[in-house]
Amino acid sequence: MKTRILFVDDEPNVLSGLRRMLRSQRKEWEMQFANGGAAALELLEQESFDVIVSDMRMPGIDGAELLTRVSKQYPNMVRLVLSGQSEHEKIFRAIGPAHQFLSKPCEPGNLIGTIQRACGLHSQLQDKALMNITSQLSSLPSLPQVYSDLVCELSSDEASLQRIGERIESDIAMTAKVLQLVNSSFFGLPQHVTCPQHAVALLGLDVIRPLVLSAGIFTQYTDPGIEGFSLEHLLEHSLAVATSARRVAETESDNQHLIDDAFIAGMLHDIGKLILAVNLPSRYSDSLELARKEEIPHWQAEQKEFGCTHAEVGAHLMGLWGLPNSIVEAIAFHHRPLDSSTTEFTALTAVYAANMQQHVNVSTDASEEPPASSPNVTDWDASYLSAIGMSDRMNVWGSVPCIGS
Amino acid sequence: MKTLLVESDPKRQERWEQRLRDLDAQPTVVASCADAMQLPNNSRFLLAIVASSEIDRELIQGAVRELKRQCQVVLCLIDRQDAQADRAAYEAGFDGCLFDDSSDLEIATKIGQANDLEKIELRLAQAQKLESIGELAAGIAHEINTPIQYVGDNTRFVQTACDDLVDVLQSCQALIATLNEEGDVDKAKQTLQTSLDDADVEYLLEEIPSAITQTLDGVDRVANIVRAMKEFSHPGVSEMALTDLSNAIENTVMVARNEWKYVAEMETEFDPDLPPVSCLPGELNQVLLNMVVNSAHAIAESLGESSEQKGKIKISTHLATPFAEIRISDNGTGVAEEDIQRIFAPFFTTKAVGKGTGQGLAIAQTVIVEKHGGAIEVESQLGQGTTFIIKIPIDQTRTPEGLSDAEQTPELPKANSPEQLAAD
Repeated sequence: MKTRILFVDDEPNVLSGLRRMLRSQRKEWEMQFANGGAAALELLEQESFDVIVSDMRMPGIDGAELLTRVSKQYPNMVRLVLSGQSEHEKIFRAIGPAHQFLSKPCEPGNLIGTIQRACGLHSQLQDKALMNITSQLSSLPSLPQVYSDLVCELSSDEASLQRIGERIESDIAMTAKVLQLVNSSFFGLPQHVTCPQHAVALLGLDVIRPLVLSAGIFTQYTDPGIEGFSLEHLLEHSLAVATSARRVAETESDNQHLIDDAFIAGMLHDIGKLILAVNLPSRYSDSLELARKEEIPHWQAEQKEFGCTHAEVGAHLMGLWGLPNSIVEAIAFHHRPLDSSTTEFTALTAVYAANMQQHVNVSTDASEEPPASSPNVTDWDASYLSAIGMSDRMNVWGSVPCIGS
Repeated sequence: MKTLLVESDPKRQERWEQRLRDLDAQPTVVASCADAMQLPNNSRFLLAIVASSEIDRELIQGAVRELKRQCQVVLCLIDRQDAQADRAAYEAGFDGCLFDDSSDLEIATKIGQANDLEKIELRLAQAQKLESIGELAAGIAHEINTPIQYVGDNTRFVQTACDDLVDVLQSCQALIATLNEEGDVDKAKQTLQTSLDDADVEYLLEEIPSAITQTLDGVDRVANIVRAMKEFSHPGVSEMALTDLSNAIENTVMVARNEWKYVAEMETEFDPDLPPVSCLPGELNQVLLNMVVNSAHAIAESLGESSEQKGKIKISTHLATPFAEIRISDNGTGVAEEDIQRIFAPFFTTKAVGKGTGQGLAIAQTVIVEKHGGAIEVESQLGQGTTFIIKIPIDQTRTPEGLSDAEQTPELPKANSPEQLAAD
């Protein structure tokens, strides 16, 4: 099936330029072009689309308004902005409804790649309700303490970018959101930033302040009251995996990017759990129950309940948000690395190793994972390790000191 | 450092001229205020020293005001014995007084102060200009990024189309060669047909011309914006220059396009009989820009968000001798009657906090009334719209008649006091 894409712009020349430039994609894509927000809504009523790429400033229904309506009526669509806009105030309005932001002028390779990546992950989610919910998310909740610390820091006259970066880095939801903002050029910043500290420094106080204090990009967590799930534990586990994934990466590579990626991928690897627990609490609770009853790993119980696991859900959202591929891949395959068909050491390897390690270490912690399902060293995926030529490294990683467990 | 001395008594004139020369103050000497008015329009002085005897008590305020248009600081030269003289001088609007027996140091200090003031004013003007250019920059970036997007897309399309057409042409060459050599013509024909099909030649023939036309349109648009921006800001022009108002308005409209195009249609109507007008082009453009942006905001406010409708801004010029008149009308929110009196006051704004600085119309007032000797009028009805009328004297070289016209028969209401404005 071809991917169906709707392009919206008030300037007909932009549309015909895109139509000609993207003609090379005609075998994979079916493209429609709407001259303005009203025309786009009309087309949407007649046909269904997988992706919408809209300009921001248009007379009448503008881009932010259009994407807001689309996210409500057609939650499943990938929503992208392609805009020459550079006023921060106007861009703030797009942050909620848009998954990613592309700046005009946009390289065709970048546009095509962004659309392909954002759609590639769509097929992994089969559950319609789950897919709708995930595609509609514009933020994830943070621990109230972290949130209020951050607000306090931002409201202070002596706010420091370093302290703000540290707070954001300590939280899964904030890390993900900040990386979305920098990696998808909402503010015209360089691509592929995987360090929240760096991201915060690039955005600067003038952008972060209004984003947090008035645009509300971060939200506070309220406990959904699920037995066997707590955000504190999730954060603790994520930080432990992140830290040991970084150490594993350090033993295998000098590449700072890879090391940073390993840390962030570790931090975000279970973000799908947060999505599921907060948005579908009763079904998530059922899946935990199922794991206990059938004595299977929780992710297998998720598979039965949702048709996919937290890994795919997390990867789906992070892909929609335009996080770098290496991170998305590590999130998606951290339980089944062999499916990634990679042949070398990547952030995924580091996260996989660190996660295995952590589950061994915390196997007595009933709140995290039912004991029966916890892997021991013999559970390591030998085929994956041999596929990337690292069958013998497991013991080295195993001796990497673990922190936070 | 230039000074102006207004003194008719030959002896005193000679003495003061010498003193100023000794202080390296480059004095220009005239015998009366009327003579001072005859000086070329672009002569600019740091300091004017006017002997109190040269001032016609009747015209004194007007004369000082006229002098201030050309001089940074205007001082009155008075007799120390005359106890009433300094009070009268300050009442007449002089910036200060000098005495026959003032020391050289005192004179030098006054010149220094005038010099400092001049520098500060220049810096302020520059800062204001930068500020409004900064505000426009985001809009201009948007105006440029859009055509660059489709210029790039179309050019890339033409590039791949060319690659395809090269294949076709090579097949043509091969076919001719085969015909000449009496080779396998059918096979060569087949190859040509395949490359024709692969290239989708009909599509290319249809699309290439319009791709190129649109590319050139885009290049023109970018070039026009950049040119308008350059002409709009008038770098380095700080003196009166003959200016084509139609051109100035067109540039301003172009530069501000991103501010109005989403909310309004723009209509311009220029009086073909209007001659070039002597004005400060950079500052006049600034005023026009403020007016256009105000109109766009007023329309946006009256339409509300995401409206399908557009308002209308109309800018026209008229020859209304001895003035050039610019009318800027919009069908936006209009100004409430109680606010009309205050709209030219600095820091007055009805816009949301952070939206307006309340400086736009105050600057317009300074530029048009004080620097050009013109007037701004406003006609507005709440809910109907607003019209600003800017009047600028066409000829800035003021003849004595021109001066007395302006001073004695002020039938033109100058927008320099709220009462007069309200009366309009």
